Amino acid sequence: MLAKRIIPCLDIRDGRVVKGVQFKNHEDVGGILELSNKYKEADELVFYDITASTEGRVVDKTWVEKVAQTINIPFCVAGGIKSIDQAKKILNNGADKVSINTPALTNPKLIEQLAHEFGSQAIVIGIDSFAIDKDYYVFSHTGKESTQKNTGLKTKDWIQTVQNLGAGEVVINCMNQDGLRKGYDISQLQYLQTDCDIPIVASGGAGKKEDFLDVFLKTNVTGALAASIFHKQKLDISELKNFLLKNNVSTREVKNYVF
Amino acid sequence: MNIGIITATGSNLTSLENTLKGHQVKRVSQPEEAMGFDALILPGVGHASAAMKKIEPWFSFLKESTQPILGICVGMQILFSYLEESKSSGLSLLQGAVKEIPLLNDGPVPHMGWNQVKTLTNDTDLFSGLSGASFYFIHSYACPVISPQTQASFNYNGQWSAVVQERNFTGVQFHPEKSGSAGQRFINNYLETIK
Repeated sequence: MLAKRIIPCLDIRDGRVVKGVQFKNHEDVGGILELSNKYKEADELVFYDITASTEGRVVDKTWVEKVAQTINIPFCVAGGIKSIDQAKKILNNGADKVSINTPALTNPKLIEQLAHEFGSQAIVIGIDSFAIDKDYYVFSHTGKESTQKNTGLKTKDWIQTVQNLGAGEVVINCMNQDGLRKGYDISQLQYLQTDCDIPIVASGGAGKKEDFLDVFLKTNVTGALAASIFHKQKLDISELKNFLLKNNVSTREVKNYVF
Repeated sequence: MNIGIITATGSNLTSLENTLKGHQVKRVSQPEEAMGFDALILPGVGHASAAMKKIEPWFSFLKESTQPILGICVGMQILFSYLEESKSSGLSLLQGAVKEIPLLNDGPVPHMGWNQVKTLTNDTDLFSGLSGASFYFIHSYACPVISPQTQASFNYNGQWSAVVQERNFTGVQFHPEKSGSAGQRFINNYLETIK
């Protein structure tokens, strides 16, 4: 059976891992390699350069290769990737997937081009979704509060679009919940998962192990992403996996097979 | 051992090289450079038709090869005789067709994540010490279980080949280089079996 994925997200700013609340007030939580190394029990890692998108930069590629040399689990790189060439460098340096957010909104054709060049499996679309008036809307340029804006696109329609263009996965970040540690936005995810044929990763709101159980039992998401709860050692990944397993959620057993 | 990595169809070579520490490893970009290795590895990611185009110059080399060759993911898929993704023939070095994984309600496609593998033969050297282990998969196409080539299978919206063997070719659908210590053990086991 396919295991539900536990995915720590490392927000990167200027080569350091940071964390803010609802994209604000970022604090330093550690070095990239130091934190990557700590997450051997995770099923996947996401590195998100939160400055790249808003400041027109692409993520510095030198650390991507260092990460690939340090860890032997899959990882995804996000932040400011706008072209085939930029994606190619990141994938050739050892990342398994690239995640596109704002550039996909300004140029949806990019999704199609990337999927054609690298295969759908390597193309993740990050979606920042905000609840407004009983529906959900996609926000762009969310790296900074001063730049973020409502695109006017309904999240559900955008998921259909990216899926048709060849995206292999969507990470849905429920902005109303992000950084608040009150749990994933179950009703939003339940609403958005209908008609979505590609894997969904839930993001935003994890504060305790019960939140992961909740999202895996009540929605079809195949992975759950979180940041501060892991970085600040509030929750140990093997403890979380044991808890999920006891509650009949399939997880990957982490064992050392090489002696 | 002396191991060559065929660069034509792969990215992610860094991770693969990490799993081969302690061996002599060389990246080879042309068939002329691929002589004299104890084993060759053919990694692969991306679209099957792109991979087929890039592997074309290697066709006669692979066809005449006798040294052990390990194909990974798309690097394995293109060895088969038919590829549904590109709606074309593969290299036909392995018998069988690579098909699209059907979509089921609770099984979105691509098949992405860690899944368990079941050995189908008594010859379990490849999976020695790996009972119950999960490996990392990331793909939308796979080869159904075929006898006697399929050595191990996985279950996702059907039963599929996780490992196939025919002549000097071994193919794996998962990514050992991304499968943590289980993947490392698998690579070690593979190299042990071809010694």
